Amino acid sequence: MKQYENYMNRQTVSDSLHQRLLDLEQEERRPARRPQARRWLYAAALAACLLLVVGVGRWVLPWLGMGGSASDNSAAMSTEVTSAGAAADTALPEEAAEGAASDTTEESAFDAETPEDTAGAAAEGTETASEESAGAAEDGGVPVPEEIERPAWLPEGYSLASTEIDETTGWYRATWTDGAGGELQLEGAPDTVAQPEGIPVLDPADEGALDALSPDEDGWWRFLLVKESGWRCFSTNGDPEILWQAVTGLPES
Amino acid sequence: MPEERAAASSFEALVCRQENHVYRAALAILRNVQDAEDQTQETFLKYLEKRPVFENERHETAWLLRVTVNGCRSRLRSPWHRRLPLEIDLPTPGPEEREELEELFALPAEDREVLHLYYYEGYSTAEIAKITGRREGTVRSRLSRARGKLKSLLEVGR
Repeated sequence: MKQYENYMNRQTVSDSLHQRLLDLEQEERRPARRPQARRWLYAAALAACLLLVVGVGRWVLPWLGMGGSASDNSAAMSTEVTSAGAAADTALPEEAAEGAASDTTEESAFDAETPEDTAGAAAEGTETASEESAGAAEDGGVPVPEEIERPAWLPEGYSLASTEIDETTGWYRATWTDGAGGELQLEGAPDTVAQPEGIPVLDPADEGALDALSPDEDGWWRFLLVKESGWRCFSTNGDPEILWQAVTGLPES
Repeated sequence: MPEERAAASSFEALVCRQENHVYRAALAILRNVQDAEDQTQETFLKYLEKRPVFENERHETAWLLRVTVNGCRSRLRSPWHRRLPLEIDLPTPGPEEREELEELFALPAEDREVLHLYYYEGYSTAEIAKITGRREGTVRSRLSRARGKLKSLLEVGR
């Protein structure tokens, strides 16, 4: 590795990059422009979303009518919460309404809540349904459903970094970060949306499923869970045990 | 050159201390000068956002490298990178270096990651596990596999 060491020792930051790095601190001290620009962006995004909903309403309504409620018409991501609290569940829109009636024996966070999930959600101090709108009002942008903001399985230190929602198909992606580059990502959609290709499908009932998993070329761990109502893709650039615990509810071995 | 400039602020001093560590790690993983420069900038931007407090310089380097490693991974998995072939754009090595570098840069990104941190930065497998967010066993097995691929080159000397 001597040659590698010699080669790397010669690689230094260019003068222009060095200056750009120093300038970063100056730019950090000028935040005045950013909040205004951000507000315009949010307003434009909200207007675009409203136009999209109005424009494709006739096509979207039949799909929403299969499993959703009237309030789903305003957003593909349901803002309803189950009576037990939605923080522990990352359910698709139709599952939020059906949660109480579905199989309560499973402990997976993918499925509807069980009484154990409810206790877990309460113990972790997750937000209640009444606080749901607070997340939406904070920045004046598109409302973020509470079950995405802070799901019960989310480890301490992680916070919501971004959400993407396709209101016409019901597809969504949420990304949480730990502030030091660690990321968790959840992507989901109903079964009308094609699953991502090349990602292993795991069975939550199979305790050894995670052992067979290996990271992608880019170092990300990904797996899919598939239900009749749709699919979910769990991803992380950190320890996949975190996600597996969320899926299976099993303690870390 | 960076070492000739006076450090006027603590941030400037940190940049002078750490910019090459960050840049070299990004270059090792991304194999592209432009991407490595972008990632270097992102790393220091993240520092300015978080302003973490460090116990010592080694802790400081480890934190910056962790952000860099995770940032590089995000770039490699982005839809843009997946759609287009990864462009390798590295400074030309010397004739003696070419063989070793061709072998090393042909390895997968996560192998290059651990090799760089282990052989160039001198971190232990436990430290690399913390920096990369992987289990130590995973780091050891990856290091072992990478060594196997570079066996003939590594026999010449560390």
